[in-house]
Amino acid sequence: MNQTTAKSQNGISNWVFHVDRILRGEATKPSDIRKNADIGIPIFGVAAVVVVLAAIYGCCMGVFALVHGFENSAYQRAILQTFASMCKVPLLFFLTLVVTFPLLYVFNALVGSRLRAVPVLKLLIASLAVNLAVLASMGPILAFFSVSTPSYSFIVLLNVVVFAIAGLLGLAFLIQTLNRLSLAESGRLPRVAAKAAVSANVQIPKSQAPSKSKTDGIQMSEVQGANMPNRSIGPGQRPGPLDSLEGVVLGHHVKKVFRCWIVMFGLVGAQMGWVLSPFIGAPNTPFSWFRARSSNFFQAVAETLYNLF
Amino acid sequence: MSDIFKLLTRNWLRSGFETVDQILRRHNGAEVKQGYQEATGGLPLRKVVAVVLIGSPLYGAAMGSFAFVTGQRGLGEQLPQLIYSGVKVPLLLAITVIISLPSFFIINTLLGLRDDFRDALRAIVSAQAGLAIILVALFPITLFAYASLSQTAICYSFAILFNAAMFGLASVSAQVLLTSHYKELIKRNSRHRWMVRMWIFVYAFVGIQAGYVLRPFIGSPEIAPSLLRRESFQNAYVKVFSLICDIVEGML
Repeated sequence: MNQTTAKSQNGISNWVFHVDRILRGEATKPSDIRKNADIGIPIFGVAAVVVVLAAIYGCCMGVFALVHGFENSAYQRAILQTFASMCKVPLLFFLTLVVTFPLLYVFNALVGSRLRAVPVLKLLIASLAVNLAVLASMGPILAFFSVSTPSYSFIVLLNVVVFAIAGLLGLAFLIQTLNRLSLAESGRLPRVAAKAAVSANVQIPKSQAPSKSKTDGIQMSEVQGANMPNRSIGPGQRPGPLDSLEGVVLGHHVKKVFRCWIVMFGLVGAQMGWVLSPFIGAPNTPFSWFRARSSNFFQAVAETLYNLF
Repeated sequence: MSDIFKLLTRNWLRSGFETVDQILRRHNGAEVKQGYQEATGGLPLRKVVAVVLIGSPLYGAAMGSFAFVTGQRGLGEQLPQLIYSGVKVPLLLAITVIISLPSFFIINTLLGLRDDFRDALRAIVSAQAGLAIILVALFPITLFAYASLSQTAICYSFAILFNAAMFGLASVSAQVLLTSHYKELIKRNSRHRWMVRMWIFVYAFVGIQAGYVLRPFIGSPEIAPSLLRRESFQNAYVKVFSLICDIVEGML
C-alpha cells in the first residue's frame, strides 16, 4: 500500500497506472480493502484520467459531425461540434456524479453502513473510471461507423448501445466494490475473502464461517450456502474487479436501496445526457451548444427507433 | 549466384510452408497435449502476420481479376483493380482487428483475464492468418469459377454472390480455428468462452461494415477500376433493414 501511495504522488503515468489497477481489480483486492476499508487510489489523479477518457470518447462522437461538416464545407460547425462533444462527455459524467453522490451517501448511511464520504466518493470515481475506460475503448468502433455511415439515427442508436454496455459494467463494478467495502467495515471480509482466494472447493470449518457481527448496523442476510463452490472463480484464480465474493450477500435492505439508487443513477444520467445534447449534431442543423427542450430522453429514443427505417 | 538464389528460395518456401502448417494444425491432438504455450509459443508473431500480409492480397487480386478472366477487359486495363483489391483485403482484416481490439482488451482486463491476453491476442492473429491461408486455398477455385462464366450481364452478380460465399466460408473456418485456439484458454478460465463469443460478435459487426465500405473488390466491367466508391460510404445494416422493409411493404 505504501508503495502504491508513493507511486501515486508523481506523474500522469502513475494516474494511468492507478486506473489500470482499478481495471485489473488490484485496487479493490479483498486483502487491501480488508486492511484499509478504503480503495487505495488518488481521487484527483484518477478523476483526471476519467476526464481524458471521456474527452477521447467525446472526440469519437464528434467524428460524425466532423465528417459531415467537411463534406458540406461547414468547417466551423464541424470543429465546434467536435470540441463541444469533447467538453460535454466529461461534463455529463461529473454532473451526474454531483447530482447523485449525496443520494448514495445518505442512503448508504441510512441503511447503517459506516462507510465515510471519502471512500464512497473514491468508489464512485473508480466506477466512473471503469465506465469511461469501456466507453473510450469502444470509441474506435463508433468513429469507424461515424466515418462510413450517413444515417444519423444509426449513430444515435449505436451510442445508446455503447453507453448502456459501459454503464452496466461500471455499475457491476460499483456494486461488487461496495459489497466488499461494506463487508470490510463490518469486519467480515477476511474470512470470506481468504476462502475465495484459496480455492472454490475447499470447505471452511464451521468455526471460521462468517457470522453475524454485532458491531455494525448493516443488516446482512446471512451467508447462505457459504460452502457452495463459486462457479465464476476457479481454483487458484484471483478474483477480478467484477467478481462477487463467494457466499457474500448484501442484506436485503442494502440491496433494495442500491437497486433504487441504480435506477435513479440511470435516469439522472440519461436525462443529463438529454439536457447537455446535442452530442453528435444532426446533419443540416446549425451548431448550438444546447438545444431547446421539447421532450425527454425516453420519448426521443422511441422516436429515433421509429425514424431509423 | 543462382545456387544461392535457389537455396534462399527453397529455405523461404520451406519455412513458409512450415509456418502455414503450424497455423492450420493448431487443433492437432498431439500438439494440444503439449500445452498451449509450447504449441503456439514456438511460432513468432511476425511470421503469423507475414502469412496474413502475403496470403490475403493473393485472394484480393483473384477477386479483382474478374473482368480480365471473363475476357471483358485486357490485363492492362484491369491491373489497377487487381492491385486495389490486393491491397484492400489485408486492409480489411487489419482495420477490423485494430478497431475491435481496444474494447476486447478492456473487457478482458475487467473480467480478470489480463494475464492471458497475450495468448488471446496470439489466437486472434493466428485466426487471421488461418483466414488468409483459407482464402489462398480458394484462390484457384475463384479463378476457375470466373473462367467458367459467360459474358452476360448476370455473371457480375453471380461473381459477387460467389465471392461473398467464399469469404463467408473462409470466415466461418477461421472462427473454428479461433475456437480451437481458445480451448486451452477456456480450460484455464471458463470466462474465455464469453470473451471469444464477444470477439466473434464485434469482429463480425465491424468486419461486415468494413467490407461494405471498402467495395469494390471485384470491379464491375462497366465501371473503370477505382480504389473506393463514393457511394460505398453507406451503412450495411441500415441498407439491409431498408431492403427488408421494402420487401415487406411490397408483399403487403
